[in-house]
Amino acid sequence: MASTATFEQRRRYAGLFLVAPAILVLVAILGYPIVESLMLALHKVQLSAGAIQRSFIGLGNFERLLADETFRRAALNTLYFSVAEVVLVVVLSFAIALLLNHPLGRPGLFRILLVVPWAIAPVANAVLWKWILNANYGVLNGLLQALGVIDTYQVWLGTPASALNFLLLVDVWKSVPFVALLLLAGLQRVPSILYRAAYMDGASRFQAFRHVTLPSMRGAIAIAVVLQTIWSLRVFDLVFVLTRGGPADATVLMNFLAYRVTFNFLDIGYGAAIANVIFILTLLLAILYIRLVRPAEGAAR
Amino acid sequence: MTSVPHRAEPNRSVPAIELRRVAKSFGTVQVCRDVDLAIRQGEFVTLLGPSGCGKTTTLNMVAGLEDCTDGDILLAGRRVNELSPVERDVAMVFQNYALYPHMTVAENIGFTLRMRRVPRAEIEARVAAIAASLELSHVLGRLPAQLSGGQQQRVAIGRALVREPRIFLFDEPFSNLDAALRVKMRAEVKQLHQRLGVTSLFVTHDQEEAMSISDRIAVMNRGRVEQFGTPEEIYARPATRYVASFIGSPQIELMSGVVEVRDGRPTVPLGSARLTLPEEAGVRPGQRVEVGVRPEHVRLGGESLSATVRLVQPVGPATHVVLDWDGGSLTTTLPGFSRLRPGETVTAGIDPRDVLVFDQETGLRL
Repeated sequence: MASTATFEQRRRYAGLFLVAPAILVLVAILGYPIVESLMLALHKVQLSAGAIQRSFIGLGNFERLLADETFRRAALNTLYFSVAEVVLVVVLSFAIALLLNHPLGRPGLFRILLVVPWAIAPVANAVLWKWILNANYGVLNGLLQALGVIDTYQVWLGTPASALNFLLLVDVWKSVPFVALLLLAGLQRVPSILYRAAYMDGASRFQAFRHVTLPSMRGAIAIAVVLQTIWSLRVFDLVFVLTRGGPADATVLMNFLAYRVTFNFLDIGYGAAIANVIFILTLLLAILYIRLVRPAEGAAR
Repeated sequence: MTSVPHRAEPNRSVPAIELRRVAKSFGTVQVCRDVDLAIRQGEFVTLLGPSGCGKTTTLNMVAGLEDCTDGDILLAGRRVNELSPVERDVAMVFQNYALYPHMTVAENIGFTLRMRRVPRAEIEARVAAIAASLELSHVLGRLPAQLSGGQQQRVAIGRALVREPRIFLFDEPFSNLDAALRVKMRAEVKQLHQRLGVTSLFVTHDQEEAMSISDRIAVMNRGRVEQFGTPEEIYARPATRYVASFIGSPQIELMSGVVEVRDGRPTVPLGSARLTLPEEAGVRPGQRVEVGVRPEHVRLGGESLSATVRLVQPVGPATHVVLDWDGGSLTTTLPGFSRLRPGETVTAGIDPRDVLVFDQETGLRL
């Protein structure tokens, strides 16, 4: 048979043959849990006397979501957290990328320093910040008192007004490096001849930034925004280590709520419904991301 | 009538561009040294040389894109070393066009006016006029990526034209075009210059391009200007061996020998042949020289030497024939298609007045 196949056909068969094992593994470890979780979300699941009882209730769990005060709180927290984080991360990262792209910022040392927060394991990072923000021994309290900004030590993570913002600060600190590198790569792809042309055309530095740099970076910025939104929606580790959702549910994000409902309240079907809401949001963003990345590849000549 | 009016130049005796002992180094590498040039108002001058000879660096220094390490640059008599391109009133056409990829043709051409806060209506009118003169009116709304190479080239020229600058600078503008288009654009630029009369400085490594487009050519070599003259001067009376071999296709044939006087005339023996040198060449017997003969000056049927045909290369309007004899080899250019065959024996003659003589050591023409 191989002798009758064209080269084109043989390549296609070989490709299928080579990816088949990977597809089987993906179906087993990704496809099965997704389907199972969706099924869970459509059932009322109860644990009683060590046995699981499932009863089909259709969209009942999702209807419950709409009326749930705590879920609404978590959704609003997540919305605030995601929007603020995306704006902060992208703006800060762009500024850092511009500095790193400047001749004085080129040395590799700066790039190594930049990557450190990103390279630290998420839970280790959260624990680190737990100590920095500690109400009794935290270095932040000590520093601010020494500088005269505060009179007495503050319980940063115990105050509803500040707790979510401190989570935000920690996550921004952790997220900036990757996005900065992403935008730096975008900056480096802007042909330097365009800056010369803009200079000859009489553009000031700011005008060159506005009319040459920014439009050339549109794709990279869009990718950064979408990726960062996905990551912000998925934050769990920080909440788990730093606040466990407190004080007074001020730091409950959707992902943490799904965890709490499922494993603390053992309301498995309802927890799965919350998880599926996050899944669908992330999936939509992922599709958007792939669309953003694809034309960039097509246009690359 | 044209969109870019002629400028009333105040004083035509002051050079439009003058370089005085201009030098440029990057660290320890000296790219240009002692570059002296005086370019007249309205002149079209080409900097010609191989890559790395410092021609683009010289252009960038005139543009204001690079600082000179030493020396002065004067535009219309005014020292401009520290001025920006806009203050110098110069516009540049870049090698790879350097069009802004996210802007339409109209936005690309109008960008420099926008940067100067020219009113929108005036920008539109000037862009439309430039586009009409460059046959770009129908593509004003397109992006550069949607244009052909020749159209992109014209947009780049339009972007320079729209400013109505005092000086045009061209950095190898045609190097990305195919051969046919290059010849066409060359003619367009020359006509544009004849129409507008704006002083232009053009950089290329293509000697034919330089010859066909320029009023005068500055041949550069290793950061210096070897010769500055009209195409005819450069071709017929090259100042150095380097200039002689850089200009002309096929290349000039250079042969070294020692001067002997025969019958009261200076000659150079080359194998069994003997080449008579021009009377005016100031040579003395025993001097080591290199003689250069251009292909079109080798006439078949003369009695200077007898040789064997090695190679026959027809190119259409002419045929290049390579001849071998015991003193070396020569190329001759014959009109039309030649019937010569490899291996044939022919005789060739060279008029002493067409022989170029260079000092073996200094490379200067004698």
